[in-house]
Amino acid sequence: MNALDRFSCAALVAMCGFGVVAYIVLLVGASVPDWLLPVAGVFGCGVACFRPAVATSQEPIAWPWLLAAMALLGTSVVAVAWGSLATPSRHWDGAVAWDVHASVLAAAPTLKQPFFAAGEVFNHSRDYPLLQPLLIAFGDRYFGVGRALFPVLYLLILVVGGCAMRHRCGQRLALAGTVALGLTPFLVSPGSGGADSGYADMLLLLATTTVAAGLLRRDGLLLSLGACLAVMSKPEGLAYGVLPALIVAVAGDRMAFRASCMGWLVGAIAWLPLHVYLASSSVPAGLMIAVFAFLLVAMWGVDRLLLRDLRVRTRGLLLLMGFVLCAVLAGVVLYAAGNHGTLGAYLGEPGRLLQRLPRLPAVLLGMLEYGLLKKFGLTFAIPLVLIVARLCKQIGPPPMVLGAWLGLGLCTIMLPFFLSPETDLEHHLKSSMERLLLHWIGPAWLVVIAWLSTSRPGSEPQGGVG
Amino acid sequence: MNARRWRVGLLLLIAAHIALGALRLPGKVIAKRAADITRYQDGGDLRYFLGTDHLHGWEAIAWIREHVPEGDVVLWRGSAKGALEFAPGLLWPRLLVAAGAVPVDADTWLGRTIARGTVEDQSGVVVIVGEVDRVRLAVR
Repeated sequence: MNALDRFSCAALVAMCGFGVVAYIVLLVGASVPDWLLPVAGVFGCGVACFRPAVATSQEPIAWPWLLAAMALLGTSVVAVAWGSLATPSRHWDGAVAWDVHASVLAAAPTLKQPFFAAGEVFNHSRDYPLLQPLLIAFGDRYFGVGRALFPVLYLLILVVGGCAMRHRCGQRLALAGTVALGLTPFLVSPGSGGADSGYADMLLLLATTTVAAGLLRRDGLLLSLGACLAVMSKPEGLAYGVLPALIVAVAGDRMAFRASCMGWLVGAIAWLPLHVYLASSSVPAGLMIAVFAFLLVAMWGVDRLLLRDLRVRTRGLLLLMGFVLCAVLAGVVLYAAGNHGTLGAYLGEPGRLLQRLPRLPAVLLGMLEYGLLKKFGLTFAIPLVLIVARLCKQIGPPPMVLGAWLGLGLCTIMLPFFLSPETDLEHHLKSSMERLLLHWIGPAWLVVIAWLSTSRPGSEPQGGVG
Repeated sequence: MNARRWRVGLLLLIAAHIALGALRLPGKVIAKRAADITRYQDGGDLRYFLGTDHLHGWEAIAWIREHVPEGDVVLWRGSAKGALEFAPGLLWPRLLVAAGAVPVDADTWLGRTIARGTVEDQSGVVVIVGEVDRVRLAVR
């Protein structure tokens, strides 16, 4: 188990390290060198070697159950690998955006080419993060099978989630939780957003699962890596990546707060200037420096002033107000700076949020419909049953911090339906809700297993912020 | 109902989720994926994306692939949403450039040749036109 834990840690460090350096190289107008990914891999292995061994429960698992689990997960991995390698992306966003970016970067891993540099060239989702396209491009450059990334991501999600569950919750529950996560219908189905569809939602699911694992294990490295990876995966990852810092700040955990902030900040410093460049072909350096200086001061202020002996409710209220203020400011600044790309379009008109508030019941119903009745099996139903059981005082208290990560995450995925320029709500729900819910299946299963494990007769929480 | 029953019930729900996932493997996960892959491999990428009930115009992309060298520029106009979204990927390494951004008498754009040809007995600069549910060729 420690070997799997180290493998996942090495892979996450390698991906984040590669992404951060590659983004900076792209921003300065150079080509990402071919040696960067292997060097990042070696660095990741080095970090993983120094990772302390974790103690896990020794309760035995009957081999037929283990065999059945391996057979089910093995079949899923083979199906995802087959779907990934047999053809290029077979679904909309994968074919029109992510695959094209990967092909262009595989030919020349630089932004100094018309496809990225000239606004007149048709480039779908021009200002989207480039980590997944870069990883696929380098896989293509080395071996000609860049899409092998997807089964690797699928495996990593299972390993990161499974190791965290086993570390905190015991072998049997962890095995059940890992199989349940791996077999979630939407994840393994061959449709849009599924594991082999070519979309970047898998990378973001890995990031949210890594953060959940970090919260459950109170592991600063995993928290940093998850927050950083979220920012570099997809536009919504920028918002997701802030949430762990907010949650652990409210919980008063200074170590976890610093780790989360560091991960998010490293990712944002690498990604935001590149995003602005891709969206508007120029980077207002002074503005970017001012934004990051403001963020650093804000985080320092929270660390020094708020993480003291304030009541949790006061701290939470102050942090929430600060977060909303920062988000509004960021949107207005981006929009005023001429950034009419994805972030500018969503955040540039905060007034839209109030105008569309009457949509709330429809969005909530949409979330329930897609989360409970369609392609997620019982992933989101079981946490609701757990809440009912808790209300009936039949089960122990929830893993608060981990539960807050899931709860805030599910609230965050409602925001696009209030902020997007898209006016047709029904179409927007149909095209986006399932993919947004997918990002939270890893945290959902970790919450379920952690909650059940602390509610075992005679069990005690084993510490940690989860 | 006591706590133990709740716990057993919750474990049964997890088992039900796993059973549902396992039952879906042969049909929804493997057979459907196989059908998808076969359709892509048999019909090719053009028909797979632009020869469906909803999206049309694979012939226009096929014509460009056949007649325009890789690395050249193809102009486009019309609706950027819909069928045209697939064109950059299907035409890469040719570049799709907005027709309005290129002077009418230009032969090259950023050093790349602008595609010309004869379409429906008309010769000139080839333009791919997006119409939400289809793409078609025109001449400028």
